[in-house]
Amino acid sequence: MAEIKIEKKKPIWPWIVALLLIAAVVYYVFLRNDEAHSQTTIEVENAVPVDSTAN
Amino acid sequence: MENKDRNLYRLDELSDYKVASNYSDVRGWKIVDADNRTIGKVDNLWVNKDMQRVVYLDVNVDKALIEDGKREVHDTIANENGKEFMYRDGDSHLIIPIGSVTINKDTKIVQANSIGYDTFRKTGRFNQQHNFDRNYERSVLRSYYPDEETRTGYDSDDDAFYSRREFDNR
Repeated sequence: MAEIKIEKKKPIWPWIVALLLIAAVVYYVFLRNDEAHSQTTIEVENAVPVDSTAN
Repeated sequence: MENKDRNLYRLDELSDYKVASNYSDVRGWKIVDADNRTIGKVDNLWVNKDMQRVVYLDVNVDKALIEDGKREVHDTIANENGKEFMYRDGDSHLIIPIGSVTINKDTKIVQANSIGYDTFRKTGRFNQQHNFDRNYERSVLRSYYPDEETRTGYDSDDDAFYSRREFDNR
């Protein structure tokens, strides 16, 4: 004797919201890292070179 | 009485419902009789929304069975008053109570327990475009189980009709 039950489908939108949030967090974290790395590179380029021959 | 008055829906009409996890969605599976003769394919699932389960398999009957049935009806009309099963072209579906079948997940075949090919051939069919009513349900159960008419709920127009062994997993 068989039985087949039915159930309500789970809504998909909470998963979409969660993915978007994760994507936003990841993007924000990487963006901040990129900005910090760029700032350090600029400071090194603008630094005055030390004159090693002066007595 | 409309199908919706009886809480009866085709599963594909209920966009927010699906076959529950751990249960087989047998739509598209072959269905055979008690002797493994092909009856047709499961075309749809009729569910009772309040009971949250399937009550009937909607079977698209094999052409061979329909042709065999036509020969039977012609004989019946010629010999008796065969009004109960007057077929129209396009009447190619019949229903089977869920408790009357066994599901084989390995072979993806549904088998009707104790219902033979001849019984299916003689059972009234309906047109998928027009659906069916409670009187059709009663006539089908009479055809499958001619000795079971006196069971509780048989004359009921509400969900008590499905409180029969033929709809249960026993």
